[in-house]
Amino acid sequence: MSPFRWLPACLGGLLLVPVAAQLPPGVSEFSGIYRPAGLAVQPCGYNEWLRRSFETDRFCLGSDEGFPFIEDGLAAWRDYSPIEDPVLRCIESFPRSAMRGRPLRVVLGENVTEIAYWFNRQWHTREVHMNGSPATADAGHTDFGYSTGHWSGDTLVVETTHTRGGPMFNDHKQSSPEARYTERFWIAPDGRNLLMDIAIDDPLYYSRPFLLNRQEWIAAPDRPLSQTECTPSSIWVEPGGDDEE
Amino acid sequence: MRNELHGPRHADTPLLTPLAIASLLLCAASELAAHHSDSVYFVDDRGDPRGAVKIEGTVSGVRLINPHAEFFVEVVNETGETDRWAIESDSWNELQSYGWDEATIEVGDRVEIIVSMSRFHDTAGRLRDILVYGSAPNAVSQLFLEFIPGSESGQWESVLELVQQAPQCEGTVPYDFLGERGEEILVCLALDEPALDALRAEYADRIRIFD
Repeated sequence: MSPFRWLPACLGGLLLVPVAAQLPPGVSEFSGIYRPAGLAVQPCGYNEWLRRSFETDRFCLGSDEGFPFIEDGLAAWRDYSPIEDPVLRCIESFPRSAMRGRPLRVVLGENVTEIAYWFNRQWHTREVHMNGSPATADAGHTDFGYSTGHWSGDTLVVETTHTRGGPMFNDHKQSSPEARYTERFWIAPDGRNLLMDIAIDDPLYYSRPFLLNRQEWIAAPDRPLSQTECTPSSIWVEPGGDDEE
Repeated sequence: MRNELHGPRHADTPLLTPLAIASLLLCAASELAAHHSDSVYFVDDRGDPRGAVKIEGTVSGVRLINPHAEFFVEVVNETGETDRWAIESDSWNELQSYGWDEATIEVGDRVEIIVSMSRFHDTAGRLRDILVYGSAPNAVSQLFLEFIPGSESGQWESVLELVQQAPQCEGTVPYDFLGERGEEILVCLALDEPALDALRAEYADRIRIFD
């Protein structure tokens, strides 16, 4: 028998060992899987963590109060037909994907960091370019846009552009495709959970940058992921209905 | 039509066990949040004439899907023509937690439904209450009534009174009707014909589906 018979097994084992990312000195590794604290993430008292921690922009679904609309933004919201909403077709694009209570997976990397949301039995992954390379001139607009990231002390800052725009919440308040989002991720004081906020700067629709959401994410490495499949609604998507399932 | 593999159903058919339902709820917890806002799509107010419309007909299609199950019902309208209504409901995960299974509603079933009308279509709505008639004469029917546990709203008083006296469907988790205020649920009641007639007489002017 070959004296190297153990080699394939060892090499196979090496492939399973995660390689630690080369993170900047002093930066904490918080790669992992998290679940949102609380099922609903919008303000108005639904978000437990938000309610007890931060002073922030507050707004309610269905109301424009507290939302710094300019005329075009208000018109885009009021003219939007809800049956055009991509979520009826099981599509969740950014920033909505980050605010719908989906499990979150973060994989920190030296060149690319991945931020993924578990939905419809799979991870939907955003790539965050950590080397500062900007979007190319001909970059198109996509569900997750184009993201760059950098570290500010212990906080991961992610800037995102080139999204499609569209409804951000279930009441269909809109963002434009020209919006720029700034997310921050940092470790909670307990050293285990993750804190995140998302600000939007969208001069086409809003008079000033403001905070869309703040959220605590609970470390949940072993929590089973839902295997629920999302099936597009025939009532809205295909009026008349496909009754075979 | 009815899948005979399911055998007799309604009150004779054990529904999900409490343990199975608890497991289902745990696994589905992150999916239980509303997929979309009802009030955006439907007249989500029972006090509005379009918020609680009663239709009667025969089920012609069923989609037991997430995040919203769908039913299609052939309804004869005032001019004698048949409309095909599309009814949206809770997620299939949620319906199972209320005791539904694949045999709860099937093509060919006769039903009475209270719906909140769609804001976008004339023959579409959101399921509120549903009575699924038994498949044979004298068979037990299943009545699913919307209810909010612990609610202080007067609109649920009659439903609370009814659900506390009528037999719940076999296999469903006992509801804590007076507990902390929770989300809307569909309470499943198993009713034979005399019981159904008695409730119609008693609640006709208080619970819309008995009109």
